[in-house]
Amino acid sequence: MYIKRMEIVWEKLLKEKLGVFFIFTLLLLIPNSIRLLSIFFLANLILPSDVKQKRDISFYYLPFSKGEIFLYSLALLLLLVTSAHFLTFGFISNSLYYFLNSLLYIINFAIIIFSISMLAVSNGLDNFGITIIYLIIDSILSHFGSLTLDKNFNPYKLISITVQGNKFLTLLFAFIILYFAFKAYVGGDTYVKN
Amino acid sequence: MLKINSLRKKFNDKFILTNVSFEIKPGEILALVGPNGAGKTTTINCITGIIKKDKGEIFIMDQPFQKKDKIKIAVVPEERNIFPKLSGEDYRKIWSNVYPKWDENIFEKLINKYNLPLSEKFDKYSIGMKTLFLVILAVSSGAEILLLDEPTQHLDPTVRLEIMNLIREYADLGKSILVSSHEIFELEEYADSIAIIKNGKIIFYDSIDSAKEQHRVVEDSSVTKEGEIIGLIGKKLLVKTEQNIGRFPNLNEIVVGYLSGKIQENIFEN
Repeated sequence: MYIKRMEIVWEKLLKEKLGVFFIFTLLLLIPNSIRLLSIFFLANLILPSDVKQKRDISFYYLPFSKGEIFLYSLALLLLLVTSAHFLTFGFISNSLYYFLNSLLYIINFAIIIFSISMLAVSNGLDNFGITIIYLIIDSILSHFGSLTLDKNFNPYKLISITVQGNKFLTLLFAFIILYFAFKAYVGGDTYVKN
Repeated sequence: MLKINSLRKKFNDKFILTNVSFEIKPGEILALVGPNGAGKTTTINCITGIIKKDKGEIFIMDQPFQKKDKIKIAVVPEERNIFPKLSGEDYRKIWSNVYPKWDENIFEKLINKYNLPLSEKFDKYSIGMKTLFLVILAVSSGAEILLLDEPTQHLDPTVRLEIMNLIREYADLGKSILVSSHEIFELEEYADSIAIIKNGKIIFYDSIDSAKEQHRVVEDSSVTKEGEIIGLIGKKLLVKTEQNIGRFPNLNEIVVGYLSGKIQENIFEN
């Protein structure tokens, strides 16, 4: 039953934003910074922009819950991101370690950007603005120190979205932010705050 | 079937709903009327769970409302443009998949009757077509409860009458229907009971027949010794009395009388 409901939500999201999704999904096939840029836009556009413009309300006139829409949107984002990674991997490297490492990197990146973006709109803030500010602050904080355990050790680098010194710690960090984003969206009267 | 008890909602320190209570029995159509900003749409949004209520209780079939009960509710929202980029066919697919009691026969019959183009995108529909299409989706859903926000707005007079009959027929199947509307003369034709909402509070709630029986329109207050002056209707008065004075009011006069309200409201009254 939930699969069918998820399909409906995905179909609706894809049909309503066909042009934008098509462009950014194509750009996802280009690795490295272009892929990250595409993930940044997709994570911001998939649900947060709808919340900002109060278009997500339409779902709730139907028997959908906020939690469902949040999770289905995230699932679609991760499906697009991982599919692109699987499709292009053979062209880039044959190393399984590199494959899993880079897969985890983009998954962490997608979850964190989506979560920050949802946290922003759930509190009446601009999703693009806040995620850009987050990336700038992250770049500054992760610029200093090193990952080696010496006097220059910068623990922030372990969970930094750009550096991801430890992928699993970053994933844990991503899930923590995701939890707060879920709570902020599901628990709040998001669309009436603005 | 649907029971609301002391619903309260506040946005940014402003009370939108202060005390909303009513009940809609199976087979009943309740008209929720009031001025713009009185809290009609907020009431509907609280029932559907779109807005979280601050206080109060919502019961569906005598059980506290739970998320899973949403499949028992179909809504025609105030905002008609719900999925503007989707086609009528997409809407059919969505509604038929989320409502387990979806009735394809009724849907097809009504779509053919009104010749609505399912292949066209929803934002290409006229505002009247959108209203009509959303009402058709609601009555095809098989939901036990319909929440209809201005369901006859922007419709041709003949279509209005047909939609009123359609809503009445749906209620006669044992369904409960809440209609929020400004079209008082229409509501008198097909609604069973009325709740008048003002400043987020239900100030009057009764069956329409009972409301008419208990009120009179009189020229001035001197003719009534017993009873309560409700409010002004132009230069006349609406009074609640059991005396056989003046004349019986129509529904519009009852609504106007209560909304104009000549009585000083007791703010300490619950």
